[in-house]
Amino acid sequence: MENVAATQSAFQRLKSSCVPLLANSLLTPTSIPAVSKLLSDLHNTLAQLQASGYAFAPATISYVFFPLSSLLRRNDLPSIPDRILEKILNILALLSEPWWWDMDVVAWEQVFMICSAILGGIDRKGKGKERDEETKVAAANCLWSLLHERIPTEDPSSPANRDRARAIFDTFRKHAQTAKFLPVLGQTLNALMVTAESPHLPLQRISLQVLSTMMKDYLPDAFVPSVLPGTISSMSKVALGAGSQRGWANGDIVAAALLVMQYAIIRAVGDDTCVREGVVRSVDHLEDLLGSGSTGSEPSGVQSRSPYSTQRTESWLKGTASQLHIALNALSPLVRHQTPTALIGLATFAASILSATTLTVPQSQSLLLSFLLSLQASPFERVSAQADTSLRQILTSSSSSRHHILQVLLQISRDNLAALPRLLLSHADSKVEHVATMLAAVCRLATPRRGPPLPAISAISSGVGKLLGPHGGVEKWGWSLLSTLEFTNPPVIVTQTSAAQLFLENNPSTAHVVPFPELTFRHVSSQSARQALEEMFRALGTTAGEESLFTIEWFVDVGQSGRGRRAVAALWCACRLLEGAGRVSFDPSSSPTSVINRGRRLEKVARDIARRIAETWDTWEDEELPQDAEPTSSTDENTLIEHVQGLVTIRGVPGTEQTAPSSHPHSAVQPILHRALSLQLLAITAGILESRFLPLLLHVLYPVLHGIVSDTSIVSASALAALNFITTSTSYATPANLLLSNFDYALDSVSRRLTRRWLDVDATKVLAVLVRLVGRDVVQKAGDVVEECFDRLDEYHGYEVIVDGLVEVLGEVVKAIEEDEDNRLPRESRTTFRGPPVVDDAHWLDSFMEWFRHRHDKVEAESEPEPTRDASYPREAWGKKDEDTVDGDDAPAPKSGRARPGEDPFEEAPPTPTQTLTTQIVSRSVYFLTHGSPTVRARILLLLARSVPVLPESALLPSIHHAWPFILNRLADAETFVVSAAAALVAALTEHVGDFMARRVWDDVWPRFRELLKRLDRADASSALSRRSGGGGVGVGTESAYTHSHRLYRAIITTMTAAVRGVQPQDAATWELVVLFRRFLHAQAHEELQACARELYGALCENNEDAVWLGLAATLGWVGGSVAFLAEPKWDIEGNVKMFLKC
Amino acid sequence: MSAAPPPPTPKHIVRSHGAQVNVVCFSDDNERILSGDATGVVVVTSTRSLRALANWKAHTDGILGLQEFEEQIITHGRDNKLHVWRRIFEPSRSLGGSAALPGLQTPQLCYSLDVNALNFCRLALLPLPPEARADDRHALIAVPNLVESSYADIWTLPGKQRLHAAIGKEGQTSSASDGRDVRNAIGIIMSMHLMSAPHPHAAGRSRLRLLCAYENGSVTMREYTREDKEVSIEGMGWDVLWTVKHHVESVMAMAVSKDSSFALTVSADHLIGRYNLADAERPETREAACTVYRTKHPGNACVAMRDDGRVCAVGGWDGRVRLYSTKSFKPLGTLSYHKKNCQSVAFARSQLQSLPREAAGGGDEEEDEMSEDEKEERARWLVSGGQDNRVAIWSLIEFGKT
Repeated sequence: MENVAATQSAFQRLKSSCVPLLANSLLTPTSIPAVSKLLSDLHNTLAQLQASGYAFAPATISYVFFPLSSLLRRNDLPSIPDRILEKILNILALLSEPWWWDMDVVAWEQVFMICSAILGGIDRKGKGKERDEETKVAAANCLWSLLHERIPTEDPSSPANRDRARAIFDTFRKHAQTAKFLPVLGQTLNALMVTAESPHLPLQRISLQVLSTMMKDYLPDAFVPSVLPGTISSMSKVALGAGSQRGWANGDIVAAALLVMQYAIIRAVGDDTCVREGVVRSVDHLEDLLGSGSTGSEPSGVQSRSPYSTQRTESWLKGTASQLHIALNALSPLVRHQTPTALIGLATFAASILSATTLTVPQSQSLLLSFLLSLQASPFERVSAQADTSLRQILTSSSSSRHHILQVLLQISRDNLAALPRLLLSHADSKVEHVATMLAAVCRLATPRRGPPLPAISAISSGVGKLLGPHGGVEKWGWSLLSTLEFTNPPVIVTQTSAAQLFLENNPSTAHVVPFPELTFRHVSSQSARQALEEMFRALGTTAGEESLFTIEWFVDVGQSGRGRRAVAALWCACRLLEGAGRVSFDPSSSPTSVINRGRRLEKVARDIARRIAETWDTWEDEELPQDAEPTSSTDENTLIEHVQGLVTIRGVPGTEQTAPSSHPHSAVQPILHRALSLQLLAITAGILESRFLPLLLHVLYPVLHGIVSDTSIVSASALAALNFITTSTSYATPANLLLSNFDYALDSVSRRLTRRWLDVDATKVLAVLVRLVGRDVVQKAGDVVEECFDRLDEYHGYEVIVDGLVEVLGEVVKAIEEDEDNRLPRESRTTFRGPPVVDDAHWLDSFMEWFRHRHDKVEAESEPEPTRDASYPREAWGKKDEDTVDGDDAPAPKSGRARPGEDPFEEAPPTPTQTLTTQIVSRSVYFLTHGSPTVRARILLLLARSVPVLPESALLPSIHHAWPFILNRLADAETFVVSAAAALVAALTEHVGDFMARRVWDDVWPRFRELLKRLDRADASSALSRRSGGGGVGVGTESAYTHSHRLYRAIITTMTAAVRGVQPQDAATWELVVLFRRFLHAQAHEELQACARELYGALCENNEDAVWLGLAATLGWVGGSVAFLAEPKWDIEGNVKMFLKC
Repeated sequence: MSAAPPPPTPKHIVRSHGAQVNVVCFSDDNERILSGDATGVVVVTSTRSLRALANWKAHTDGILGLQEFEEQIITHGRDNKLHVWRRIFEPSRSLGGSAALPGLQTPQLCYSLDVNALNFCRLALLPLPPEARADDRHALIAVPNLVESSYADIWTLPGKQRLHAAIGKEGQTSSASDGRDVRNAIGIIMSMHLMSAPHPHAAGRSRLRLLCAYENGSVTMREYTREDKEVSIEGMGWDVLWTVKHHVESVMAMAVSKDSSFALTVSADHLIGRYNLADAERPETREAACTVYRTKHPGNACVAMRDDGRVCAVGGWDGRVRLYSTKSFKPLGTLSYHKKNCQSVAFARSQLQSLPREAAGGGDEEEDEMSEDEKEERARWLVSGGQDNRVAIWSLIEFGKT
């Protein structure tokens, strides 16, 4: 009931348009707007009905069709305006969707023909005017709704009847293939091909759509070969975007065009068809071979009667196949299309052709496979997945073609590998990249895919394994590859301290991921090509697994055989292959979550490689430069290809000898690169062996540390990266931890390099960096270092470089100890001398009066403790307070005999290990105070100065006392920096053990300083560097802060400041000080010296303000009389004086 | 003749000791180096990782002797104790395990023996052949007599039975019954070697022999000739086969070749005594069998011999280790590293004894961490322990046909 009602209402709605339409069926210029409107209404109504799911009854359809047909019939088709025609066609297209199910063949044919005519423009023959694109789109749409195949569920009447759709479709198809209709079909095809090239995008799209369905279903088998060339040519044009100005086509267009081609090719030369026609024979079984005679005669088939068909023969196939190959080859640019849709289309295309034409078009297989392989390496996830899936499906399919294609695949790999050296030499970056990507893609097929699980192609891994195995002939292909894989020498920046070292010093505790520095190929300039090459080797290694070990070892052999370019290249190859084989990645983001089980053989090889690198690390420096034979041999091999870069060389006189080889910019020996790559290789072996790498650290640590102290940045950066990588691989938190845990190994290897046999001058630097890297924790291990250093010092004391290095190491150790705050001794009570209590001016007579009053009193007050030493004296008997706790001790008896160390403030605490260590350093180093080299002397003095704060007095003072004459003599050293170092030591001593130094400073040091000052004063007067004051007067000191005299001044002033603070000076000496140091208060003196001098006078003021005042005031000329001679008008000291004198 | 190889340097230095190293020795499979120092600390160092596997205070006083015996370690200290420890095994590193090193283990003490260590003589061990073993008797051990250091006792291990007491007493004139006031002419035993010799008359049986080196520089070979009693006291039944005195100073060390064919002694003087044990038995050849070689370097502290008996190493008080051919006493080289007295030297085993497989924990796992070449190289190692607290490992050349 409801259905009837719906029909009724629909009918009513349609009627409102149809009836007037019929009335106006004869088009006149006046009626056109009305018709147009009516048609629009009708279209809208139909569209609405269809959208609402209305089921069109055949009668309804006929009812709507009638006015349209009369419109078309009553008017001359060419005269119908485009707009009207478009609307009519749109309605027809809409109508045909449901109508298809009930359409009779005649109506179908009629509508088809009219659409075809409009598309092809034959309706307006002679008028020379084409229909516009919109009309054509409508026509093509209409065709689409007539032609496309329906699935049974779409059936409006009886969805259960599965065969009906098929049956109707077959009816139409059969009709289309009749000889009578075939010209129409051909015409339509032609028209569509033309429109497919239209720049109008919707038209293009729908045309391709219709074309594909026609190609797939409607064209008769025998007819397809006839249209194949045309189809291919026009479709390639479409796909490549040849017609458009942009030079490329939209992704969906490409995909659609490829689809049409795919149908055309498969239907024309597909295996099935050709086998059926006996052109080729498929040999799957032995029986196929037996029946060879019978199949040959069959072909002269029935279809030969058709006038438009082409007979498939062997010669035809041969020709077609080669033509097709050319056409397919032309599609290569599509691999680099920007849109994934196009790429997916290409993948589908290649895969279907490949699987459908294994017998017929064998020559294109490698091409198609290469498409798929390149696509597999596409950055688009979807594309790559699609290509990967199709490849795997092809290679695992049950058909016999699998083996064939596999062969082709391996052949491709082989060819590519063989072509690589040539491409590298010719600087064809993009080709190199292409080849490398393809090889990597082949390799990737060998591993199972994770996402949707797909099987691995085991044949590939065994094939690659064979290639890299003992029988793969690496000796042959390896050499040619190595001679082309050249690296350019990095720009050599020699720095005193390497960048890596500075990096370590800045931030020793944090573990950063440090990348290995990038190396540049000589023949590959683009980044992507380089990455592709790397990826290729890695993939080869991964695929071959342990089979590749032979090749890796071969490369390592070559790499270890010299330092030339080939050796470097070989190391690089070995690095990448091993990275792949061991599944090691330097990329921190791709840390594997699962434990990788690596084979025993791999680990063994890795271990061997690490050992070899470590063993050969030292030897190379003695090696002679390789003979010049190498470059000549390498050029011999590649005479075929010449790549000229840069300016064209002009020959002076034609015909004259010009074969003098241009000077090679790349030297044959590349030790720096060799080192850097060796370090990389070490890191990789660490990645493979992981925790089993630990025993190897014995050998490996030295090369790494040695690399870090290298003065070329690339080596030190590599070494740092290697150290970090080894740290993470062996699961240490920081490099410092690693080194600390393996300190014995590192020390062992360093001490080995300090023997006469293996002497390495850099070993001391390594030791220093080792100490620095480990930092504060080194203290517990440092005893050995110090021991070692002094042993070597004894042995090598004549060699300045080594002594210098060793002393530097000792300095590092002391620095490390110093940094440890725990080692600072609490010596406050003894270090600072407090002068007499400052008395307020108003009361300064009070104390005198006090004394005066009591001067005849008895002396009992004398027994009171000195006020200055209050805190340092105990108020009760020693040990009384802690009696109880001591009694609780397990062994009080032996202690009771002597004073307990902890309770006697003047007895030293038992020395800590650090202090024992420093004692050791100090006591052994004092002998070097008289060393022949001034730098050593200065270093030892500074070392001693450093160790003063951390040493217990009991250890320090005897040594100092013992060495005192030497130290004093150093103050008279010929070298100023030694003198300043000695002064620094005296300053440190006065600061920390003032009472010990009291007599020494005033008796021994001060007279020498006085002499020094006078001498320096004289020297400054004649020095070119001395400071001139602005007004032409004489300045004080030198202009720069970097002269020895400046440093010496500074050292002297600070020493005396410390002395004044720490030691109670005699009045005479104070006066001398006041007088002698006046000139440093001169406003023209160096700022730093002025500051030091102010400090000194400040200290003097605390002690004897009156003397200071008198001296300075006299200098300024404020005071006359007996001190008037002190006046020095040339010194402008007033500003400074006012800062600390309250006057 | 090609140029002489450059002076060798130690391959590695082991710095595990905090006091002077008294004894060093190799384990039978070359996997471990055992070293004992003057404070009683024993360190077992792996020859693979060169790290301590165990480091423990075995004795309260200095170590006199140290030896690995099958699954056990025998330590002999100056605290008058002889301890037998269960040997520790190298912790097997699990695959992909953490890099953290397990803490060092302390071996488990099996049993102890009280000995007289008021002398400088280290133990002499004689492992018994399998057919002669009993539950409580796996090896015999010779140590100085409990009361008199110039005599020797022989004990069984692990039974701790004293089989022979005061060997060497019988031959002496027992004129002084109290024994104390008479100056012993030969002095205390400085070094001993216990061995078994084939029975002169009965096939398949053997007799115990004890070679002792004395403070006065003499060397005496004794044999236990009594057939009826297994146990002896007062040195009864021990006949002196021969006595030779070559050295003018006391013998500092003695080494016997592995096949027990000859012995070497060194002393504070510059002589090396060589004793051909077989020929020395016969009086007519004794003169020729016991020879003395004069070296240029007096003051030798220790001597060791390679397994094949062709090369010996003598450690001197000058800290150097000198290598000699044992046939011609041609100097083969000097290893100079120690700055003080070299106290002990030991050669690695060149003929590896096949140990029972079950011993090595996860043997196969560890096997391939060291290649055959490396193992061969390791078999040519020599270790020396010095007063400077260091143990030096040297890798020697083959000394092929020299």
